[in-house]
Amino acid sequence: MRSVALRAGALLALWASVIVAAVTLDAVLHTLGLIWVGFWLGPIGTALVVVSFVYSLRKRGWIEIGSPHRLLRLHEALALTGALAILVHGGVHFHALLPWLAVFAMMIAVASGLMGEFLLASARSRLTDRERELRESGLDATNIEKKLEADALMVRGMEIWRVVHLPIAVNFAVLAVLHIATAVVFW
Amino acid sequence: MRNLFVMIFLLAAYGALVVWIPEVTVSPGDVIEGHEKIANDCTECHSPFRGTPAAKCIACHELEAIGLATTAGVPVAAAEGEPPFHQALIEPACVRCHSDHRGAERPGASISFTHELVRNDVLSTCASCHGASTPKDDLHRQAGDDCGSCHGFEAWIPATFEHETLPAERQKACVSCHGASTPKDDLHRQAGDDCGSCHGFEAWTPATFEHERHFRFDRHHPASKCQSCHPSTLDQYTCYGCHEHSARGIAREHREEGITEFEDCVECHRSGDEHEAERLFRKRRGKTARQ
Repeated sequence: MRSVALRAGALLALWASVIVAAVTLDAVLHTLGLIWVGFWLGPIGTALVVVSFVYSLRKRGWIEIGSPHRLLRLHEALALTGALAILVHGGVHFHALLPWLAVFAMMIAVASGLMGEFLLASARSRLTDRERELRESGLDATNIEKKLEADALMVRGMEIWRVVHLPIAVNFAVLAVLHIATAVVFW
Repeated sequence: MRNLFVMIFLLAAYGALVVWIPEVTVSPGDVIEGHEKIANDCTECHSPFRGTPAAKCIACHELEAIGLATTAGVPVAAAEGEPPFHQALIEPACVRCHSDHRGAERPGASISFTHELVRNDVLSTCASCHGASTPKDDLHRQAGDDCGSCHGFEAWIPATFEHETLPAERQKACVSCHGASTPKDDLHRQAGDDCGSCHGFEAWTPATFEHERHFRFDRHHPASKCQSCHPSTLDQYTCYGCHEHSARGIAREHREEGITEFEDCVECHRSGDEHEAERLFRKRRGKTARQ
């Protein structure tokens, strides 16, 4: 239970640290008169997020290159780095609504992703513990499998999360595309 | 399939908001004062996919009148140090300096004038824009209109004045330009106007005055007590300012040694070292004898 709380705390801290790092970087860029760097971090961050979706393509079988596990790690790393870059690009400026909705949606998507990471790790941990308990109680392999199947509540939690995470990501994608489109049209 | 519907729905919903209230969803801030009437008509200034062409600005702001009169034709007084210059620009590129929406921080759009935008023929005539603010002191009056020979475009200082460009007689007349800043201490007051005998054109320090060429300081003859040896002017000295050296005593000591010419002490006494003085005296006497 303690390890679950610790893991949740660490992921929450990671999410918050992305915001803190973005505010700090933005302040540094303003101080150094390098606002233009923040501007270009938008396209760069977007590109990183787009590349991170290689994992989604692999998971759905649209492509067959790379190991899903490694691509998941890549997805997490690129999405987090891209989110940081996009946050710096947005800066602490409250102007047009659309880009801010996009930033807000992005941070929800990042939080959702971290929640997925938490659920996945917790499910693995719980199933491993349960399997050890059942083995120690003397149950044979067949009965252990039956019991584990019945106890796989957290795995089902992951299934529910997958259903939610994608629309959240789609919401961010739609807002980002609209922001980019309007920025290009009204350059 | 469900996610595709979600995407289409969101795209339609957000798209409708963008079209319905662009000033809230897309505009990066309020337009500047005077542009309120066109605040909600993006295409008044923006050409889709082509940015904000200068032609759209010039349609209202006639280039010839910028800085001289408002769009309504009312004359405007040029602010001090900010003369009208838009007419001298290489090309009208308004958004390189101006950003209409407050808060929009586009790279290169921060109202920062740069001389790179000005035509070459105007660049060489600084006074045509800065005439009222050019300094009127003696040095600058003589420099004429060629400000660029010393000053850069970025800032008035630092300037890179080359003394060698002055006529020879002006090069020697340091105080005519630096009069106010010349040091007033005893040493410099007595040095007179010939600053160049110790100081160079590049910098005030290091200076090249070598007292040791005439007399080496030591603990009995410290550098800090100029007045002991130079009671009146620095180009004259006396050794009799010290109680140990009296005219009578010195005359007696030198005559005992057969030395009759001892008025210019430092000719032999380059320091407080007696032996050195003896060596120098013998050297002088030998040279005189050979002649």
